Amino acid sequence: MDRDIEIISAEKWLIKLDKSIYDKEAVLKTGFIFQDHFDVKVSSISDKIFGVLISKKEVDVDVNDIAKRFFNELIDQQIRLDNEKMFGDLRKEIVKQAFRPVHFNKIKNGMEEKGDEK
Amino acid sequence: MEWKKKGMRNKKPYIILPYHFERFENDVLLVNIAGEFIFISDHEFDKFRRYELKKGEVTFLNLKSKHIVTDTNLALPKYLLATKFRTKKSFLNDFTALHIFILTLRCNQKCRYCQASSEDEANRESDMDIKTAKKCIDFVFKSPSSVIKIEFQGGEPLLNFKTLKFIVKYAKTLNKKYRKDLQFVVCTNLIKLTDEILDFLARHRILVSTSLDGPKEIHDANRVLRNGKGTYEIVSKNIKCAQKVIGVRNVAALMVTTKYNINRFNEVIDEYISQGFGAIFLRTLHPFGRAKQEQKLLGYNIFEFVKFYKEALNYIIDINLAGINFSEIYATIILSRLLTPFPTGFVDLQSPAGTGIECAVYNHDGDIYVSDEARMLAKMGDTSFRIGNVYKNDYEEIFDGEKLREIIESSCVETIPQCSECAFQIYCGSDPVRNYHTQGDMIGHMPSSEFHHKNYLIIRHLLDTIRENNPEVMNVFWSWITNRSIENINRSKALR
Repeated sequence: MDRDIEIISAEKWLIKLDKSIYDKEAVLKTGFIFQDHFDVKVSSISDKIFGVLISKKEVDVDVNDIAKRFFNELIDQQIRLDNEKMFGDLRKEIVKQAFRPVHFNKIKNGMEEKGDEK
Repeated sequence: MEWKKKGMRNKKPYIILPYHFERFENDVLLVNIAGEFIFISDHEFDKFRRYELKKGEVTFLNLKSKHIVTDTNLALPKYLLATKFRTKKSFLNDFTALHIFILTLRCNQKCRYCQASSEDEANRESDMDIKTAKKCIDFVFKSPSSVIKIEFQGGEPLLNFKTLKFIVKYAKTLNKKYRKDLQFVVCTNLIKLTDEILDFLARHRILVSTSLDGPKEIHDANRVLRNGKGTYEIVSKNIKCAQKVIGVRNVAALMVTTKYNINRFNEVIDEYISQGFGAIFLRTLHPFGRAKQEQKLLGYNIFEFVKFYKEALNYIIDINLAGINFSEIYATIILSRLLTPFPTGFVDLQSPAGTGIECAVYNHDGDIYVSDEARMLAKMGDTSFRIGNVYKNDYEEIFDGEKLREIIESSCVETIPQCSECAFQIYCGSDPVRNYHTQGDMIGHMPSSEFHHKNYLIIRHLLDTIRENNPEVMNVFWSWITNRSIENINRSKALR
């Protein structure tokens, strides 16, 4: 099981997520995005399971539709998190290089890239 | 996954470079750190992430050309991305270019949505005097920017024409020493326009930005004199006078969307074309001043605005395809950011925000604010974004001070929750003053932010239109970006 939904009442349901698949940060970021239409509470149910308690603020909401949107968003957030782990440092290096003072003579002599090679 | 089978687990066939992504139906938009983008299918996206793309295949080569993957030395794409990113953020090079002068709070109109909370025409206490104007101009020329644009606002700035004239002449005198690209704009309702004023504007090449909400019925519903009389007739007459004397291209107009015109954008657009304007900026109500008090009467849901905005954009595209060159300014700004390597000068939507570092507002009393909205907020009793006063502080204290630094640090979308992962972040921006005013802190809460919803949905719509890649529509977009006619664009294409 990587995820499971338990309907607590018509307004409230609990999504259970496998901690070995989803990071806490990805779960929190997904919950954050849904805050405008729902009250979202993230907790640790056990060593292996996150619990996301979702209470709807609006009347006309389809539980299945919301669950689908939540899971799709969660996957994308997890991908973004994995990406950041993979090349977050590279992004920082590029930005650092972009704002570094430019020495025209060095560029002319092809020295700008010295020390950048990996 | 050949590279896994062969025991090459640590030697992947290509390197993935930093990118953001957003899903569009069955496609995925991938945007590199400098804003170059590509659409690929869901299936290709999965293959790309699993390192299963073949090096010779089109998708791989397209991704490589956008610096989203590389199979060569990392140094070159890193260097190119850094250069492109620097270009995209080059609006930061020059520091404050736009200097807004509040010449007076007096106004001869009492518009229902007035954001500036204007005062009665007789209240001369809110006029900027010559001494303060001189002091402010001395501050302006301390900006390291090579471009200095002085914009006169109010109230109605022409009610303090004496100070306006002084500022233009004094700035021009100072500029003989500083040799900057000095520009002037006056934001006026044109009610007080006279031959003497027109002559001065023409002689000193001062651009005019006026207000026109649509045809008479719509315009007069909001934009009225203090006695309640509509202003459409006189504004129309004076737009023609101004166009005749200072040139059609030197007169622009702005509109504000209210309940009166939100579902009548086509009529507003027709009115702009009939008045000789080449562009329109479909703007939302700002949540300041009277506009906030009158929200129930004039306001609307932001999703409703976006719906009508999209319809209006289609209408404008059709007008262009019928042979009339006419653009929507907000779309042009976003399209320029999407389709060219360059930044655009739009202080309301950039990261870090333009507050203070791109734009400064000099109030009639010498107070300096980071934006016009900051000044409006002060008028509502909250001076959180007043960064100093020309009589009490020196330039460095104000523009290199802790207060401005804190504001700027709070306005980088790269660090704002939800924005930091957004694929549109390089095209978008933040408004710390608006966030503070509407949501209680400068960073804001994007899931409930109207500013976020508007920008996200419009950027997404424009990207979706680009994804469709209709050649005729793309020609219209390029004509807006390059400020050329569609015939001219077609001629250039034929010559290739």
